[in-house]
Amino acid sequence: MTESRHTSRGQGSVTCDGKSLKRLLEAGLAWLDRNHQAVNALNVFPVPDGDTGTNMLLTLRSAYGEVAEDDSVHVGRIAQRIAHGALMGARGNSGVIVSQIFRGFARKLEPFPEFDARQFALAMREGSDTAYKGVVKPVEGTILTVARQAAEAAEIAAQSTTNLTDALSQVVNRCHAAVAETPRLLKVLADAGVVDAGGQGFALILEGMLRFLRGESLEAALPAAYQPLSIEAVGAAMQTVEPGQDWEVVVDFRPGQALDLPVFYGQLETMGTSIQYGEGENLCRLHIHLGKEKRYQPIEFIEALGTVMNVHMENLLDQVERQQKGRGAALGQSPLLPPLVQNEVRPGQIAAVAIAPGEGIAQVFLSLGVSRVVPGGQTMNPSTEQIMAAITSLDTDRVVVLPNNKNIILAARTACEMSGKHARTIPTRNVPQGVSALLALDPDGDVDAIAEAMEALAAEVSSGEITTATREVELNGIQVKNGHILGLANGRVTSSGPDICQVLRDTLSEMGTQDRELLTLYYGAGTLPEQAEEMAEQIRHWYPSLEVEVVYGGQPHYFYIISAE
Amino acid sequence: MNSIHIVTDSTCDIPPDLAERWNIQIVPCYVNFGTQSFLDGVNLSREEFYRRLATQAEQPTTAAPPPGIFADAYRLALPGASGVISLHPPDHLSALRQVAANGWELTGSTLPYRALDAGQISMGLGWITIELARAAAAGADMHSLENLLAQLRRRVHLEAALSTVEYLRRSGRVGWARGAIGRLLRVRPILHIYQGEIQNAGFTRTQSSANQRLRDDLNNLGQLEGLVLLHTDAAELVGQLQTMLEPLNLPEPTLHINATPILGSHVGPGALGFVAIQAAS
Repeated sequence: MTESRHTSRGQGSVTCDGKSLKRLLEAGLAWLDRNHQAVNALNVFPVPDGDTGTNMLLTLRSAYGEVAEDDSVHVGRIAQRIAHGALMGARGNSGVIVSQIFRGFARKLEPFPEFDARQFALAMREGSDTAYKGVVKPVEGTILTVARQAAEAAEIAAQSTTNLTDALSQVVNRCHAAVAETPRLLKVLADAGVVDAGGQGFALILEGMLRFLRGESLEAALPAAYQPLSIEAVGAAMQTVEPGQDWEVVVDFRPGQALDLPVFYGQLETMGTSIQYGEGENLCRLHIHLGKEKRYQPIEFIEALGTVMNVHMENLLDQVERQQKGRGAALGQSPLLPPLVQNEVRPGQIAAVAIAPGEGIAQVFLSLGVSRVVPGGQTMNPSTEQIMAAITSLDTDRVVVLPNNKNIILAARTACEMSGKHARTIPTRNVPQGVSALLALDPDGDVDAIAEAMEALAAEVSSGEITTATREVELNGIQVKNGHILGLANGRVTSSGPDICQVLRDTLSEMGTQDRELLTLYYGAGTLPEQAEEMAEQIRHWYPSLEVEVVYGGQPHYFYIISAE
Repeated sequence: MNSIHIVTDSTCDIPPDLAERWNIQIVPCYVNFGTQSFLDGVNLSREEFYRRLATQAEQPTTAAPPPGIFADAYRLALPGASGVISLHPPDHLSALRQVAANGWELTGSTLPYRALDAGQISMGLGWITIELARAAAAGADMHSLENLLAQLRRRVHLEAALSTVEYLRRSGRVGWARGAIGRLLRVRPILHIYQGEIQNAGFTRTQSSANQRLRDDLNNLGQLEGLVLLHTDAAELVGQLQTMLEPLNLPEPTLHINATPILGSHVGPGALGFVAIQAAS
């Protein structure tokens, strides 16, 4: 929409230059920002860690950050920089795929100072093709399907219009239809009763751009799926402390009238983070993390909405320090032990980079010879750039990367490719697989042979997770109730109920524990060492010949991560 | 006709009947629990040692015997000897070879003498010692026995899966065990001793994967001439391993050895392994 030739908003946009593309991206980013919680809620598993929206948002922010100060009018140049920023900041599977779409998009536009509807269609097609090529085994019913349909719609539009707003309007319509179709293409989505989160996120980005072209507001959030938790679940798995957000405030209240959840969340998001809201009988509960100076704000805010019944405040930093002291002793670590340090390697040796979803797990990885730990996991996928920074910080050009989460595998692969080193991703889908794989790490071996041995070892371990359900759903024939304990064995929901012992027992059975020798219980940030020991005793009672070890994992959301070997 | 006599130390794990049969003098090493000192195999049985290892808070230490004890053993060997070969573990693992040579000086003998590094411990050292004693009994001279040792060093492998890294770490004798591995999670190191070097041949987490590893590595050594199974106070594990080995075309293990306390102090209980002698090519 070169403004000198065409009206910038409304009906007349024909071409788009660098400045306009930057504004479009800003609009897509703003719209996704308003709605990313709704995308997060579209989680196949009813666990409190949906993060697709957040990951895509962070990817887009990184893309925008790259051009925020760039006033080039050449659209090819701006598109290149956007693609680079997205690639460096990509998080999670959907984030990585978005970055691949931008990459293809930019490649096609490189020579052009501006683009029209026809070139837009070509670039969209190239973006879709690049995204498909970027994944080992493309799955339909995901963001890939939506991107491909978007490209098709752009191609059809280009035959009948030169108007970019019209073209984008057709593309967005097709995207929403494609998103609505995803449960038909992908059974896990149908089972969970959700549409694909990545596809939805992608549609929202394009919709934001369209809203900007039409001059519509980017402020109002979608009337979306903010889903209240059960009141018992609030705060149960919120133990990570973000920098500057040292205070935890929990408010129990009775609202004067039904809450407008998007507005309610929107207000709270201006105050703090880790927001959780739960509803019980006659009572609502809010959980939020804030800086010291803001810690009374949510109380005042809620007083305006209804009657405050009870307030709980806690200094989280102090609490975490106390818990860590308790844990050191529980681990049986001698205070004389030197703290574990990063294992440095010499040039030519193989170094391992591992992504760890908790400080305890990070320590375990370091103890097994990992050279760099990148914090991150289900709750916060690390960006491609963070993983790449870890790879490039090593003195050697031979590296293996352990993502330890299925949503980080793609980002790890991209980081390996971009690092320019002989780096290989071992596609470990969880922490137990990462631990197993590390047993084959030999700094002086051949990268490919070691990678193969690591992958083979990873496949041998059986894994389980115990967490809290965040919504009602039926999965694998199991009725999951909001707030109940949820057990997953090797990534599949296997048991749910109010009693953690029963869920644990079912999960262990599904994991094939009776044929295993050694069980490791990594307990999370929200679990006390005594609780974990008690659980271990119970397991020893169920499986008398099993050796059970209890290790502090420190992961958020998950009471236990379990490995059976 | 006088022959070369063979002397070694109690880290060799040679059972008494074999030592007697091949006329091998075995010098006992010291095992200390706190201030209590015992002579390996003399006033401390293996059963007693492992009972104490499991129950006493204080960890045992080991020590080479004084030169005088070696001198006594050499004096017993001297009558009828045309020379003496004393076989011991590698110098970087123990002072035994040095102390043995000091002991020889005390005897004042002018017979040919060699204190040699067998590059092995436990029945690795034991097997080499027996082979040399056998050749000596058949009349081999000093030069051909040294050649035989050089050849055997290249054919004898010892591999063991330990139940923990902890004892090895405390012993401080192995560099790779000094790191953090095994501090937070249970790992079983596999160690491989060959020509005097103790290599880390990897880690496993479970006994069954350790057993598989031992089986595979044994199978990869090619044609074998001899096989001994070793353990530290874990006879039941030897049974498991032997069952796993049955389908393979290997020599019948000649011995099951509950390894010397000298070794047990450094690797801990629950270790399982083998000594394999590759066939001469």
